[in-house]
Amino acid sequence: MPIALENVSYTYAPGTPWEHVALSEVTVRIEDGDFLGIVGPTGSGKSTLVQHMNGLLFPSDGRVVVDGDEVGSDRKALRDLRRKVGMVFQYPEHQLFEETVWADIAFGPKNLDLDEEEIARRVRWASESVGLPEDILERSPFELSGGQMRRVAIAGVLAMQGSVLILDEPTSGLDPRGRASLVEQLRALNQAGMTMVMVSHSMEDMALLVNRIVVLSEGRVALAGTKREVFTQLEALETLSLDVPRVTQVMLRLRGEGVPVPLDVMTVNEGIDALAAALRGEKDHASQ
Amino acid sequence: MLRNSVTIGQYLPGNSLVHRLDPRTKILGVLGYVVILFLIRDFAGYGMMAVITVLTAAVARLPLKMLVRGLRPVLFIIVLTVTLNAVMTPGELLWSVGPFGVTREGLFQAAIMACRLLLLIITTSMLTLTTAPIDLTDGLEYLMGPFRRIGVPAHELAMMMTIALRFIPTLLDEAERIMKAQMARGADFQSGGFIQRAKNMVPLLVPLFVSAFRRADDLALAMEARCYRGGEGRSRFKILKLGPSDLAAGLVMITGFFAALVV
Repeated sequence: MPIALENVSYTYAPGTPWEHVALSEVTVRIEDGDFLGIVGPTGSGKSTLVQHMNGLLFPSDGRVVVDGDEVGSDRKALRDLRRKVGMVFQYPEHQLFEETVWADIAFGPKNLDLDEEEIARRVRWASESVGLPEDILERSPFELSGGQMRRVAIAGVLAMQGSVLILDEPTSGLDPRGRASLVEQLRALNQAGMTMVMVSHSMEDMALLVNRIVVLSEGRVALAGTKREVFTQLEALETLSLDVPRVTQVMLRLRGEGVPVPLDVMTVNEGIDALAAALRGEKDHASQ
Repeated sequence: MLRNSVTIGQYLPGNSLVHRLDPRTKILGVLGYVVILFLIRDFAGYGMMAVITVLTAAVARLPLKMLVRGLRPVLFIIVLTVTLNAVMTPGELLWSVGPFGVTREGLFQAAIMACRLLLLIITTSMLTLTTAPIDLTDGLEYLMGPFRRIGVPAHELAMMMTIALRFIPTLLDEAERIMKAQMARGADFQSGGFIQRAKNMVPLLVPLFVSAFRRADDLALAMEARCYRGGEGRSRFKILKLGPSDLAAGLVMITGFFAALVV
């Protein structure tokens, strides 16, 4: 189910003193199975952009096409769209409301009018996908830790079993271990065929997860391409005051010291390999 | 956005003469205005009051659209009051539909009420449009000061208002976000009968209350961490001072009110 945003512009509160252009002429295309990352400074329009993907906002100008159909205000079509495109907002744990974790995760499937058995199956699947232990399901979501609440909220969206999942800053505020396991679980979901879109400030998460990146700046697409293409455009990223992954920074410093390492290194393992290759090369050179 | 549909209590930053007036002058002015509005009962008087309102709006450079938009949420109340007054007042019958009859006195009464309500709402919204919430509550605290002797907790009331005003936009934004999040999970806030719709609000209201209490806790902690302990002995960053323009504005207002009373 490809999602295409074509020349999308969005203005908040048009015609009032608070008028604010959040997006201008943004074109983004998401293919099936993609893992798209969206980065940009605060206020660059990332959250506004992703809300167009499941019809929570409609473009002031331009159009959004999902699976060949233009997103409009038809209520039935919108329901269908929101069921196919799941959306995890920033701090999703703030949307929990049910008495038990089970009931909260089941809220979405229940709105789809599924039978009890299917709902139970989906709640189990969703809570396993985010690593929630079985005994938590009967507890109140309000007595859990922040990290567990986050998982419950994400499971609540997963239980809709859409084919696309949008996540706005899913790892912010988690401790390092919680972050690492969530990243793993998101990767697994994507490998199982789910199309993913992630907004994040964390370049490390981007390096580990996504394959393509769109960089937004003041509501416009500043850079776009594969993760390697984007993370090697260091000057452009610097002018937008965005970082590159730490491993890439290390490679950059090594380059500066005269060690011949490649720059398109994103993860720790790639970094180790690149460094080993470079050191081996140097040794060969020395022994000649 | 949700917050843009709520204009009551909104502040429109500016630097006009009206914006720069002392909040106390503006509060007393509006208070006087409202009293006069209920004292007069003839259209020439209301015309005079309307002139005051329009002139003030012009000096404050408030766009007419803003003022009219502020009327939208109370339109229903105005229509209801006018209809009830027209139908319920006994007197000389003009025309009737079934058991309901419109009387001459009723029409007069309805027109009076409409004028009062329209001017009342427009003028009071002008007070909040031209006065920053902080200035407004500061002014109120000063004005309530004399009543402290008879046990009115002036500072506490002002602080409560400040906090309430400060959190209106925050909570509206929060409500909008939670609403969207639940809509993304298939929640429906628009269809169904009254009871169904009330039930559908639970997924919005529970998280909203939880977050309001969390915010209240955080705020209380932050205030206590900075040694807040109420109004006793508290110094001020901003001291209100009446200036020549306040005197002028006061004179203009009193003349206007007097004119409205006598015409």
